Amino acid sequence: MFEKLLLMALLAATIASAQRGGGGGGGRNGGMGEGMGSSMMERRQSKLELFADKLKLSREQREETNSALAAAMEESAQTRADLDRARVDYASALIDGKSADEVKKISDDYTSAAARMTAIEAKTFSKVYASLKPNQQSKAGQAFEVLAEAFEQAAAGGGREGRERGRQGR
Amino acid sequence: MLCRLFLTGILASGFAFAQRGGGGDMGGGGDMGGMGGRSGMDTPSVMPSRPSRFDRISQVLKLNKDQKKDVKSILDQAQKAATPVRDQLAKSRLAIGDAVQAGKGESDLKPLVESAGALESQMAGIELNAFVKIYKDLDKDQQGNTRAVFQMMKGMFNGKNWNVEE
Repeated sequence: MFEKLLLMALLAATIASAQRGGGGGGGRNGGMGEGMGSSMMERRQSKLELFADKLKLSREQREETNSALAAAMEESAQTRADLDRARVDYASALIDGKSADEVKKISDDYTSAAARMTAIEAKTFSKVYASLKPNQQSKAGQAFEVLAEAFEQAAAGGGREGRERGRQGR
Repeated sequence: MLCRLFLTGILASGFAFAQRGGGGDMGGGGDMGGMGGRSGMDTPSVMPSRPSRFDRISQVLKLNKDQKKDVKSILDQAQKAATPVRDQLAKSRLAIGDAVQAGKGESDLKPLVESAGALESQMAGIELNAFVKIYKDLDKDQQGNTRAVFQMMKGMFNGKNWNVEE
């Protein structure tokens, strides 16, 4: 019973976190085209900005990409929650010394959720790709990896490591 | 069972914390090099120097000398194991990008997407196995402070050096 309560709390927090991250690439510096370089504390280029620069996106295209990513973050909220849950289950199973079969089942669940997540990323990339001009499209294939990393960054709330630092500073 | 409760709890509280203080700064710090980190020449003077991952793990878990050695060894080994997976994942993502560029349909993309999912799962396995090894090396008090480390494990080996954020 207690475990169920905790799991529910985890899922609620995860989904809330995912929704929060969906507002344009996640984090206050997750979007593109604003605030970059405006603060000495926020000078590192985000993956989304890297993606935009790699493809030399125009301002409008950057906005479209932001929107596409935000929509994908919303669409993937449940999948990301599933991935987070599978991570907890996996670590718990190893600590508890569960059988190889049980661990494999969790691993299979993770694999399937990760594939669903990649499918959403690929769909998002297709949308962005379709909005590119021919000269931008020629090297676009290589940019998918950066977009996938941008998803990871956004899913982590725009800076997982930043949160870690903040947490430790408290 | 108890461990599962504990892990679930730490992850939930971690997310709750992220809600409050999160938003993050998009990883907005300087690169950290080596175990001691650096506040390099390219870092503005107003920016506080940022401890390396290893330093943060050591601080959070209050590791003693032997544990530090063990943790470093565990993470170094995991990095080695992750290297071929990371390379395959990069190739896998390139293949997906190329397939989209070539105008391939969903059915053509499906095996590529599934292959990427399997590689990500493999990477997660490496991350979590390393976490569990660290966890088991800790005493009870330290185990209660593993929340941040559990979260740090996600994507830890995506780069060439786990101790350097990319």
